[in-house]
Amino acid sequence: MSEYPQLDKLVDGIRRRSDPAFADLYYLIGDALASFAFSMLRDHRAAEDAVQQAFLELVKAAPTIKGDGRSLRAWLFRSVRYTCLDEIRRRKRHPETPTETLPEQSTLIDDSPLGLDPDLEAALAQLTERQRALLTLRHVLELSGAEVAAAMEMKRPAAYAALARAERRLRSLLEGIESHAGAASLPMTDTEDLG
Amino acid sequence: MSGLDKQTTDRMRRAVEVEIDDQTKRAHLASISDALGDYAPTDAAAVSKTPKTLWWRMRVRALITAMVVVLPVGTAIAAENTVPGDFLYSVKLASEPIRSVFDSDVAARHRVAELEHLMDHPNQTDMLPSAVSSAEQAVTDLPMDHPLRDQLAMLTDMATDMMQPSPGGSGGTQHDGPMHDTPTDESSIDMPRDNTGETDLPSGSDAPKQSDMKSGDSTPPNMDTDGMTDGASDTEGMTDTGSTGQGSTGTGSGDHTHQGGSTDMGGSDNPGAPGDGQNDG
Repeated sequence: MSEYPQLDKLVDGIRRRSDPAFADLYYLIGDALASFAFSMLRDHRAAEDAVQQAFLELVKAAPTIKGDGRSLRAWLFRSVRYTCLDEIRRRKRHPETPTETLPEQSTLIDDSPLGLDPDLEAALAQLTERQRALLTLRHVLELSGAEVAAAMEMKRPAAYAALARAERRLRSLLEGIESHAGAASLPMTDTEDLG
Repeated sequence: MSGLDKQTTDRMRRAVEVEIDDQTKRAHLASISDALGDYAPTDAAAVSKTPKTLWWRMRVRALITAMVVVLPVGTAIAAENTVPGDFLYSVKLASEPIRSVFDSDVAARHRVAELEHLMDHPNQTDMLPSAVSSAEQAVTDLPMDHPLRDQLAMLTDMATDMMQPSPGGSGGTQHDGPMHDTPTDESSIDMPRDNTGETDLPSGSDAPKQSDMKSGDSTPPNMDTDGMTDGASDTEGMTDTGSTGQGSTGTGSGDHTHQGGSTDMGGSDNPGAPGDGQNDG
C-alpha cells in the first residue's frame, strides 16, 4: 500500500472501468488536478477542461494502468500536464488576444484568484510553465519529490535541481517586486537613503 | 526540499488552488460515464494483459523461439557439405561433437567426404594439407576395427601422395600413384597404432626399428611375404592399417603389403627399414 490508501482501493476498479471507481477518483483528486492545470494555464475554465480530458484519457487507458494509487495519481498529473502543454501550444499558434499586451507566458484571465495577489501574480508570470508546475506540485499540492519527478517525467535529481531553481527565482522576483513597490511607496528621500 | 518560506507557500496556495464547482463536476462525471459506456466492463483477469497485447507477445516469443531453433540448425545443415576453406566449415567442425552423441561416425564420414571432394577437385588441392591433418586425427580417434578406419587411412595416404612434389623432385620417381611402396616416414602411420598392443611382438623379433614394432599385432606371420625376417613381419603387420581392405584378399604381394605402411613413407630416408627388402624383391 502506498501513502494513498484511498487511491489504492480504487486502482482495481479503475482498471475494470468501474463507473463508481471513476466517480470516487474524480471527487478525490479532481480539485488537485484542476489547481495544477490552473498553475500552468492560468485559466480556470481551461483548467477544468484539462481535468475532464485527463479522465477521458484514463477511461481509454484504464486496463493498462500499472502500479498502486501513487502511480495512478502520477499518471493523472502527467495527463493533465500534456493537455496543458497542448493548450499552451494552441494558444501560441492562435492567440485570442495580442500577446504584446500580456506579460511573458501569462494567460491570466480576470476570474483568477491570482488577481487577489498582484505581486505574486507578477512573479509567477515571469516563471516558465515548467517552473510554475514544479512549484505548484511541490508547495501547493504537496507531492513528494519522487511524485513531482514522476508527474513531470524527470529524473529525480533533475526535478530537485529544477525545483530549487524555481524557488530561487520566485524568491528573487518577489523580493524585487516588493522592494520596488516599497521603494515606490517611500518618499524620495528615503529611497535615496536606501541607495 | 522546501525552499520557500511558509508565507510564500500560503500565498501560492491561495493564489493557485481552485475548486471545480459542483455543476461542472456533474457534467464531467456524466461525460466520463458516457465514455465508460463505450467500453464493455473489463474482466479483472484480463486487466493486466489485453488480448491484443498477449497476441503480440506470443508472436514475438514465437519469432524469437523460431530464430533460436532454426538459425543454428539451418546453419549446421548448410555447413554439412563444406570442405576446409569454406566459410561454414568451422560450423561443421563445431557441430560434430554434438552430432557424435547420436552418430559416432559423423566425424569420420565427414573426413572421408572432404578428402574425396578435395581429391576430385584439383583446384582445391591447396586445402588438402588441412584436410589430411583432420583426417589423420580422425583415424587416430577411430577404433582399430572401425569400418571407416581403413578407408580413411587409405584416402589420407592418397591425399598425402597428391601433396607430394611432382615427379622429378626428390623421390618422385616412385610416386606413380597413391599406392607406392617406398617406405619413409613412419611417424604418420605409427601414430594411430600406439595403442594396439605392441607388447605382443614375437619373441624372436630381432629388434627392428621401434616404429616398426608398434603396429603389427593383428597380422599373422604367414601374411609376411617375400621372405621377410621377423622384424620385417612386424613391419608387415604395421602396414596392415593401410592395406587391410586389400590385404584381406590373400597373401599380399610385396607391393600390396606396403601399401599402407609405405605410402606414408614416401621418402627414402629410411633405407634400413625392413620393408626395403621387400621393395627390392
